[in-house]
Amino acid sequence: MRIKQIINRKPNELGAKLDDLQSSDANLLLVFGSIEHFCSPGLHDALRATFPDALLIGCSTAGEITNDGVDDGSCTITAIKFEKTSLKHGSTHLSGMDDSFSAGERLGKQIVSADLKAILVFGPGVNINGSALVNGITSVVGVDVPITGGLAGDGGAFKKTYTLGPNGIADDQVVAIGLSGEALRFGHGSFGGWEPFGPARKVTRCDGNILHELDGEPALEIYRRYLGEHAKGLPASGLLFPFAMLGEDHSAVGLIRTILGIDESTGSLILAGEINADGYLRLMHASTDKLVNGAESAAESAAAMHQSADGSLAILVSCVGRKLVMGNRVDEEVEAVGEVLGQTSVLTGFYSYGEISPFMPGASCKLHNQTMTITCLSEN
Amino acid sequence: MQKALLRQLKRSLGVGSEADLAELLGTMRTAAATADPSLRTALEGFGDFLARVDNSYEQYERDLELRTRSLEISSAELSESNEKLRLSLADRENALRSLRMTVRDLLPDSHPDHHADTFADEDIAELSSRIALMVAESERGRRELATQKFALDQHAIVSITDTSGTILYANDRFCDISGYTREELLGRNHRIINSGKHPAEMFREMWQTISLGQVWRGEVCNRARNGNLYWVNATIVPLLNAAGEPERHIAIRTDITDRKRIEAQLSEQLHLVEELIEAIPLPVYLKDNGGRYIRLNRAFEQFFHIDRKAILGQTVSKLLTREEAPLHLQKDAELLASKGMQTYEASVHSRDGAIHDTVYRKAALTRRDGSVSGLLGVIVDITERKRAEHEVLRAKEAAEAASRAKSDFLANMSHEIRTPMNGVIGMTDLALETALTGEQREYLNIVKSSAESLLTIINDILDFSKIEAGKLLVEEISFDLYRLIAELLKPLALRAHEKGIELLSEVLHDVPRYVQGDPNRIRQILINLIGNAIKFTNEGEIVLRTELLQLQDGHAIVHFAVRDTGIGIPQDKQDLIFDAFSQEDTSTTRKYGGTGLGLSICRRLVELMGGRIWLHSQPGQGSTFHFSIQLQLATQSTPILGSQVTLENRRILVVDDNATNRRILSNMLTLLKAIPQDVDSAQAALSLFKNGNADFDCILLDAQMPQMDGYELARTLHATHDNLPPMLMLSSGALRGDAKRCQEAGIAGFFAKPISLDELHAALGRLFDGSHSAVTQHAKQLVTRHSLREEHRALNILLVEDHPTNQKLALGLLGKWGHEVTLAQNGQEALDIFDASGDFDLILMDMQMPVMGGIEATQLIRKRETERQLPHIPIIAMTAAAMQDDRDACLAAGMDDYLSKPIRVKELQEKLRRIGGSL
Repeated sequence: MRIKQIINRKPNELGAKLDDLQSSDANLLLVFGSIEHFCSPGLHDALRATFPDALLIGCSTAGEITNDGVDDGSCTITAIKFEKTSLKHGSTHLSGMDDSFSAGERLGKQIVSADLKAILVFGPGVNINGSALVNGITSVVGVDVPITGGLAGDGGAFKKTYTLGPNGIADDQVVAIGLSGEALRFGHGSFGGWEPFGPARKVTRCDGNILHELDGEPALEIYRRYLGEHAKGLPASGLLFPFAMLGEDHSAVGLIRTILGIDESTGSLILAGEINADGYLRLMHASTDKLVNGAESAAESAAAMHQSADGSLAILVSCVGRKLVMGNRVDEEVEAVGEVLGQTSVLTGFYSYGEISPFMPGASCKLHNQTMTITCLSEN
Repeated sequence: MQKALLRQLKRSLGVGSEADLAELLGTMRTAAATADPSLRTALEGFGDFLARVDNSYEQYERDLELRTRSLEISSAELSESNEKLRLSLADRENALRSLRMTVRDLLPDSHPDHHADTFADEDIAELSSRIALMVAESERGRRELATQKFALDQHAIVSITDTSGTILYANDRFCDISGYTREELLGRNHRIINSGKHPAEMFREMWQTISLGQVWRGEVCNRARNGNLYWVNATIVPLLNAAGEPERHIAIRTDITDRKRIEAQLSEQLHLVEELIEAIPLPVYLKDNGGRYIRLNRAFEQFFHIDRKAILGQTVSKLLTREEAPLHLQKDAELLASKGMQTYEASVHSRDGAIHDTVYRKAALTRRDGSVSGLLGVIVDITERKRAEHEVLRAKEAAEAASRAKSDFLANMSHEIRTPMNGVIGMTDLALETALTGEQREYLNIVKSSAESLLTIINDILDFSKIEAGKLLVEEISFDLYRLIAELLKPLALRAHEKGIELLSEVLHDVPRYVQGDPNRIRQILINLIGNAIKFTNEGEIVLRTELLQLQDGHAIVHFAVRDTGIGIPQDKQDLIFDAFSQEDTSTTRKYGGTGLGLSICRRLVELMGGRIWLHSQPGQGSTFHFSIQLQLATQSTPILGSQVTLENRRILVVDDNATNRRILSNMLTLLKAIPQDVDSAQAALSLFKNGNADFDCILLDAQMPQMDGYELARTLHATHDNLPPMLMLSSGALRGDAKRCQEAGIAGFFAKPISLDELHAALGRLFDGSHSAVTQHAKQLVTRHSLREEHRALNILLVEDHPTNQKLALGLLGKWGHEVTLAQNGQEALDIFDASGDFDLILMDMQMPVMGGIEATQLIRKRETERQLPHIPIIAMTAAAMQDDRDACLAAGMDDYLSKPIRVKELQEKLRRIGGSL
């Protein structure tokens, strides 16, 4: 497979940049850009014009990732030419958070095939139940097909995000690519680096991915308490304290949940994914170093699974919360990943509002939060 | 800009404020344009660099602040949590303690773990399991209770009432038995089932008892809804509240209606039994197995003249005297041990002093398990009975005495009457043997026949008396029946012949000859019947037919029938004819004479011989008198007087006008295996001979035939034929003179009718055995009955007789017959003579003699014979005694035979001849 990448900083320079890519006869285009870029008209047309036959997929971000590090306000376009792998496009309208599972089902049916090997999926970052979406897809394609991807971002505003699919750009569509073929090599890894602290709090009232109360106290109050003056920055500041999901026996499930939004009236938190109604939650914190080490671990996992770094594409979907914590040093995690994956991997990716990846090799796919999720693709 | 950074800038770069910094940066930027290339980036980027550093500081501060805050908050939270837990734990511990105490208190006081310190260490799990155990046990107990309650409900009628009697609970059985539904019972007062049968005090007492908190038990009669009464056995238990006062009552009842009913029935029955025992007119008593009276009836009281209260509970020793009681005590003991029944007689005194003969009938009473519970006795007063028994005994003795007196009288009478009669008849006989004028003979004959008639009458009267006294007895001796019949018929045949009537005898050949019975009585009957037949027949014939009816195991029933062609007896008289004193009518008596006793005597005799007598008669045609008697077969003792000569195939002609006789003779000849042929007249016989069909070995002629009699026929035959077979004449009238006529007529033999089979056989035998003179000593002597028997020799006889007339009679007869006679006046003289010279052939011993009677004398003679081993001299008693006993006495004394007085000449002769013949 052949990969070529461009970074466009100004939307109006897109056309020129695209020419650089034109020479590659890519059959897949991964497009990750800031809101500014995705909102600019003509993006899709331009892409379509340049690559009439390629499949277009991508989404708006809360930060763009390339081999150089992390950018804001840019648009990364990665063109890939798959030689032995067949691709199938899928796209569905998400009518609301409750439609998440069904949307996943629909999507799954669109891309399912006999020798489906992997799926890339990107969905809106707000008004969505990410774990339900993944479950919906899994219900159609089965648990053996790894699904990776993520929820689009909007630079931390948590208002409106966009995805790019076969039907163009929209703020309420879920898009996916199904990759089939024996030649495809696939590796993934996901790691957080956050550490839990404080008491385990009982989930006393929740609704799927809406957390109403912990230990009988409105969940929002806890955040307010812990954030103090930073509570002003909710919901974004809530990313500083994701929740670790614990089972009934207080043992860690291994998943982290962050908020996508808050409901002031009810004092509830809208989480990116569902939590266990009988379980416990524990606040987590992280330091930059820990997060960078976490990214490194993820990269090592992905590499170990992939076992072929040459000429591979690495899609990094990291979490906006990490960016918030690491601040300026956010590049360090990308660098760490780059070091692990080798110089010949082309890195692309974005900072999302929820990462989609198998939990561990062979396990079902989950929505992750606050993690560095890496998917390595190559062909034999 | 972060203060820290500012401070550092100040310290390191001398920048005092942000304004200064801005100025510196501006300067640096300006300188960058002209600076060294290596410094250019640095100068240009310094501001950016500071900004980044500031950012970082800011971030770090933020992070730190957040972290610190986090730490504080979470610490606080944890502390709070901890405190909460501590309090919670404390609460829990309290709760646990409280639980432990509760659990301990729940244990019964007796439980070993009931202790203040128990469970101190048990944690909640252990306590929990303990509680679970307790609950389980409680549950078990509850289940147990439920089961018991269920069982109770099955059996018992249960109700619960409050203190005022309102029904709070009624189980199913209560509803069933009372007939009310549960709804009808609950809330109602218990008195709805009152039957009204109990007095108010019972309920008052019940309420009192249960109000005090005690249990009341009793039997109550209740009324069901439909009015029926039922009985229950009730137990009412008060249920106490915490203060110990009854707040409810539970009544548990069982239905005893059946039992009550049975009790009532039993009570009735018991009462009935008591009534029965009282009603029984015999004294009845019951004793326990200690011999004490437990029950007596009215009759007992009356019998012993006591009040039962005095005796109940006591033994018989209290009732009877010291002498009487021990028997009963002993009998009681035996009965109780043997468990059976007892009957015995006892004599007891009643309290009024009277003595009673009683029969005690007792039975042991046993319980179901077989053990003895007592005895029942019934006393039957037999005092009267005993008295009656005594009287009967006395009466019997009196009767026997009377009877004996009667016998003695009869015996005496017999002797007194016979003795003179003996004299009369005997002397008359003797007189007739002397030479008399015709007139004297005629007169003496009349005397004799009168005397004989009188004797017959006397005998009849004596016999009748014996019958009345019940003393008429029959003998059982062996005799020859054939000879008896033949002999008695001869004199009767003569009488019949005088009236012109044939007297015939037919003895069927299966009739046994030697039998045991009373020949004299049989003779008496036959003579009576045939005599009557002759008396009441004027013409025709009289046939005696003897046949065997039945023979079994030596017992024969012989049937005699006397058929005559006489005047007959009217029907109405036939029934009476065997009764005493009734003749056909008094005119018969006048016409024919007789006492009228004969047939009744015959009947009695026949009955005594185990037979019966009856008659068939047709007035004007004739009568047939029948009688049957039982005879035992006897072995023959006397030699047959017949002949050994066989008459087989001898052809014999019978000539007789009488059909019956012809038949009889033909049968006899056939029996003798001869070949008879008969003709009914002399003419017929002559015809036979004329025709040449006369190949006979012998001819039997009847003397009396119409037209030509036997003599005439014989003479005619002899005249007309040679080589005639020998002829025998049979005649109804056998007179000595006939013998001569026979000889003249050329007749070989003469016999009087009826002829017996033996006589016929003997006579024919003599004819055929070659020598015509085998039997008799004289040549060609006529064969007559007389000649058959005329051997006798002179005997040496001792006559023992005290009565002069009898002496004269006997001496006369014996002398006439050529015997040598020695006379003794009495038994003593006889003994003396015997001692002196005992060489006699015969002793004739009278019975009643002075000094020594015949019995004694005979006994003594026999004794002497034994002692001295003298030969046995035949002694014949001459007795007037009528009784069999006396005859037995004679024989027992040692006599060989007896003659009854008045002495029959022939009889005497017969006996003498026998004695003579046997010597």
